[in-house]
Amino acid sequence: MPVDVEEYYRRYGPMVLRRCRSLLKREELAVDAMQDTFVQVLRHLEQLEGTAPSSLLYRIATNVCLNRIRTQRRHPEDADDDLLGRIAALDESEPRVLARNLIDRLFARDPVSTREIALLHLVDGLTLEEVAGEVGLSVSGVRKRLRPLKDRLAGLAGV
Amino acid sequence: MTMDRRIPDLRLEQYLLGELPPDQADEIAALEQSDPGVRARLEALRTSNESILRDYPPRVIAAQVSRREAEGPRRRPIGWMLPIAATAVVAASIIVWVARDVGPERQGPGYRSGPQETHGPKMVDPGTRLKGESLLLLHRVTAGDGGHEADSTPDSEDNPRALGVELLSDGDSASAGDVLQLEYVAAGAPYGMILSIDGRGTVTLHYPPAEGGDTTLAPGGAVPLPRSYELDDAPGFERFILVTSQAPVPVAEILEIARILGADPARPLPLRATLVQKSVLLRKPGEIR
Repeated sequence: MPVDVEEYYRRYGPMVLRRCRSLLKREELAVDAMQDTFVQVLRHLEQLEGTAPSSLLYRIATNVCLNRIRTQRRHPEDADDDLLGRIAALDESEPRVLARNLIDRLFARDPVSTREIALLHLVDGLTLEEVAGEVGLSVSGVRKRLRPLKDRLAGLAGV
Repeated sequence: MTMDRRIPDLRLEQYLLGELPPDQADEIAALEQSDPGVRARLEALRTSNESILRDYPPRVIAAQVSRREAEGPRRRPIGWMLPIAATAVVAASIIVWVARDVGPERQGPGYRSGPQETHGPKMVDPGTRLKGESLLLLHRVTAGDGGHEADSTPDSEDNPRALGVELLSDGDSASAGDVLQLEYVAAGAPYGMILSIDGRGTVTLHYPPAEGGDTTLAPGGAVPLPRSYELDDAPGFERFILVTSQAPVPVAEILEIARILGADPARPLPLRATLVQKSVLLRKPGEIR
């Protein structure tokens, strides 16, 4: 399926860049993550079904940014204990079976990652119901995924 | 009382994109009329849309995305770039501080005037710099003849005391007629290019000498460009940028980006993360139109 990248960016680029800006804080990093988001879209075109893709793009951008944040945190000079950083690191302690490429999982409609749920609820401020609607889980399912995080994210405001 | 805190950003984005289910779209449309908070957020998004598409034009971004997709998986995660970039800023600051600290000696024995001084920062031994960071150094030739892109090959034997040199740092003032000598320190980066953008948006390529030229950087300490550069009367600023890479630098692509997006001196060029950029901004008289 041919895609007009320029038109795709014109429509969704601002939303994606705003998402990257909000998570990465630095303009050059955000622009880079935005471009990577669209690269991921190009590489998974066959999985796009022609439906409104804003939600999927938003989630891809979120995961691209979380990967960047997690990479930063591997370096001691960036090891600040902010909530976003802790959430970004969550998947490192998830079972190995969940550790394969998050972007591939998104396109494959695999179960959402715990860190994405945590981000939507704890950083973006979505209610449990809104998170459930966004990621395709039940409210109880979202609550169940968040419950074990309390210890790992303990000590941070709002957790 | 505003209710907009209950609406996630994504919902508002989807509303503007027309990708919400009708019932949710109707709800937000009603709130836009009745809730100033929601109205303000939506207006901010609309303004931001225009700003982003203006600052990062679709044609440029689409070309970069397509090129990046064609290149395959990233060779180097950006996370490794961040501490390097941060350290480079510190390194550059240290060098500028050292250079300024020895200012009174610039005309003395430790900083002899003469054309040969434009070919190496004698006041700062490259061997003492923090290793591993590429640098862009700008020296203002404070006396003697210049000329736009003047040939600065050594002629010190003919006129050994004609020139003095001042190391400039980011934010320094400069004027039309100032003659600059550019130097780079590759510090392990095998490839690079140097360009400048002025307040009129004019982009000048300093290294390689031509768009199709070899972007290989010379290893070792400070390497002066073979030609100096005279500032013209473009108002506002002249911004010099060193771009380094582990692979040959796409000169034409970067020049195109600079021509389209370089008008804002505060904004880094939106380059792929495998390209590291160092910028030195000189402030000039006059208003940018």
